Amino acid sequence: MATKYGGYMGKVMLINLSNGRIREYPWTDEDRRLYYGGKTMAAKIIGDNLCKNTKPLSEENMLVITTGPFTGTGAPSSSRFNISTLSPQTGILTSSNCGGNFGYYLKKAGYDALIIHGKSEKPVWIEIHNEKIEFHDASDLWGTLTGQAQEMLDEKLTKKNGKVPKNGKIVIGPAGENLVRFASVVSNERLAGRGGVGSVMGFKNLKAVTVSGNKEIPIYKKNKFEDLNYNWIRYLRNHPLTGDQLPRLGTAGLVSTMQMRGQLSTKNYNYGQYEDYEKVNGETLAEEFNIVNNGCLSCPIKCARTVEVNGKAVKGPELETLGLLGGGILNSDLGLINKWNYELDELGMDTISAASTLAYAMEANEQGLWDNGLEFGKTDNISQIWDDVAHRRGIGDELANGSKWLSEKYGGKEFAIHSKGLELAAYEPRRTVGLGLGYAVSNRGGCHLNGGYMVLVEGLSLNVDQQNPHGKPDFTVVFQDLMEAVSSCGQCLFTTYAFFPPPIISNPNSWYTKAFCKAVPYTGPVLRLLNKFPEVACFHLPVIFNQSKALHLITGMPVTFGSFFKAGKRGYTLERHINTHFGVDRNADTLPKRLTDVPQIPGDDSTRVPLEKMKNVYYKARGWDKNGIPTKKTLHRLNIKLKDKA
Amino acid sequence: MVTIKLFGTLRLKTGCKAIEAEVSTVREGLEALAEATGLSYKELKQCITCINGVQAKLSAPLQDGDELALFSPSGGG
Repeated sequence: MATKYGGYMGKVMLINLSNGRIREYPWTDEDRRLYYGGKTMAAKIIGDNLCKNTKPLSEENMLVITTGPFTGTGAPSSSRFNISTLSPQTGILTSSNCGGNFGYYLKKAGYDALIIHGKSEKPVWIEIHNEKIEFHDASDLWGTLTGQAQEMLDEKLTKKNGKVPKNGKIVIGPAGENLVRFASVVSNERLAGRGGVGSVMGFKNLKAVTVSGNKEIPIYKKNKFEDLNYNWIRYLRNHPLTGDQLPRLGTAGLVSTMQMRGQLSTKNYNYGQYEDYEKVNGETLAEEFNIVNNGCLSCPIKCARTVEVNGKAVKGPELETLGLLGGGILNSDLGLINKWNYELDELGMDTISAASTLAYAMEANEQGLWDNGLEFGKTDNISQIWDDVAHRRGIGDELANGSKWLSEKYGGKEFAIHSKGLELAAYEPRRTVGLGLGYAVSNRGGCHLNGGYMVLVEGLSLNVDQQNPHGKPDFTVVFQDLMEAVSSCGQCLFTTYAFFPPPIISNPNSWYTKAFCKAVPYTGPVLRLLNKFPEVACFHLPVIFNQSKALHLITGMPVTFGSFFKAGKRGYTLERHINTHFGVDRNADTLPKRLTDVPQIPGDDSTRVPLEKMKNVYYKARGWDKNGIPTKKTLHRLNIKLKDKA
Repeated sequence: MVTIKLFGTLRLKTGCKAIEAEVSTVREGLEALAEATGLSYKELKQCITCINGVQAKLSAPLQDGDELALFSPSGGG
């Protein structure tokens, strides 16, 4: 529906693959004010339309592809789009976020979001150019790798238009087609990797979507926004994390820090330090493998690496992949990790879930639970394993179901490292207990970012006591909600790391940084007040957090830091509310027993995650009951209402 | 002899991965590294310092065979 706000194109399209019908979905300005865009908007659409009996792999399930009001405006790191759906991996709501340029071109075509439901009889791809939305036969694309599929799509568009049109694409690979539960959606070299969104697309027989157009993206106060944006980008470029570490080392730069902090998952989370970490860390990647730094459209950070695999320049691995395919399986060959990373992207699979499932299988073999031929440190057969998983051949057919499914069949639940069915990232939570809570309560399952990313202050950037649970639940709520709001604007979460002023980050041994770190565990009461009454922050935070002011200048909506924070809180609670319809409650907010019951350092009881204690404080801070269900009062306070469904 | 290792962006700037030095405290280790790399002691003092993987203060003693690691704060996802 048309909008009075800038930053939006005013159109959300509902595409039914079963009968080819396309119509506009009613999305009002009130919805925009409450949910902004991105994962929060997608959650509202899914919550309004799907009932609790909907199965992830069904015609009824929806793929909701959303942008945010920042997307395409030139705001820093704002080219992102989001895909939400019911996950075949977890059975609950998932949201998977991706950079690249698809979001930008979707808005240039005139749309804020696409909702794709139904199921095509035969493989199809969708071409969108401005108002024109066409279905094409995809039988020749079916079975292709993600890189090849994108090249073929460009050839088809070129044949039609006489030249390669500027366009954005999403495609799936063989893993999505064969319903691997952790299949990803690929856009250029970026991935909506988590939660199995690729297999939902594969189930619907949808191989790809291309978008192009030439619409103007409106901005409410363009000149003022450009002034703010100039200073914002300058601030990010001068910040030690977003202007130095991330551009120079990428996320891979964390490996060494995690090693020192005991946070580098090693041998399927048996340990937190890997003796050969120097062979697979960010410094070695930068010195011996990186060809050039790269990044998404309109991003001043440029955190991506480019490496050579088989004579071709391809995207390098992120921290998660380095950690889980390095120490995670006792592999010290960084060249192999680069190769596997490329293979997984080409097949269209999430590297985190693939690696963690592999590590589970290696341990299950080691413990005599499952004779599968996989061994820690044995790397000669891994490329074949990826291909077998993507095509569901041999043991690959079982690995394709993920570690939760495997542990239910073969045993070893205590070392199947997932929460709600989604495998954890490479951060070992027994040495970052706040993140341990985050992993467990995260709405999409074991995710570090959706979990609040407490590890940033618990050892990576700041030195808040890693083992002290005190104050962590309140901090987790604040981080989760701020990140939720930023994500719903279509912006990369990495911009939020600049929230901590440069002097605090650059001078870890200064008295003020030490004082800040010491104070964190005692900030609970203040944060609790902010969590309960976010409206009191009726101002914008200058310099360190520009998002709320930018949202006002782009859209014209009345926004303050407090209302922005509240929107994040609304989104997070809405996702939880929807998940409770699919059976999520306190009992689902768990971690494998290895992480909660077995100290990482033998004899030191503080090196395990004291989860149950933190959950009580967390639920209270969120306004959820003791069972982890948002109370009616909380839903009312946050204006959360879902449509009645049959 | 102590092995002093440098990580993070300072390592990329200087190209120095590690040096060996006869030092008895973390402070002396930083001074030796400053001399070897041309970085200022002040700059190195702001790094996080670990002895054999455990965070240590500037005054912490070093013993023969120890590994002193310096790294700068980092963030990512």
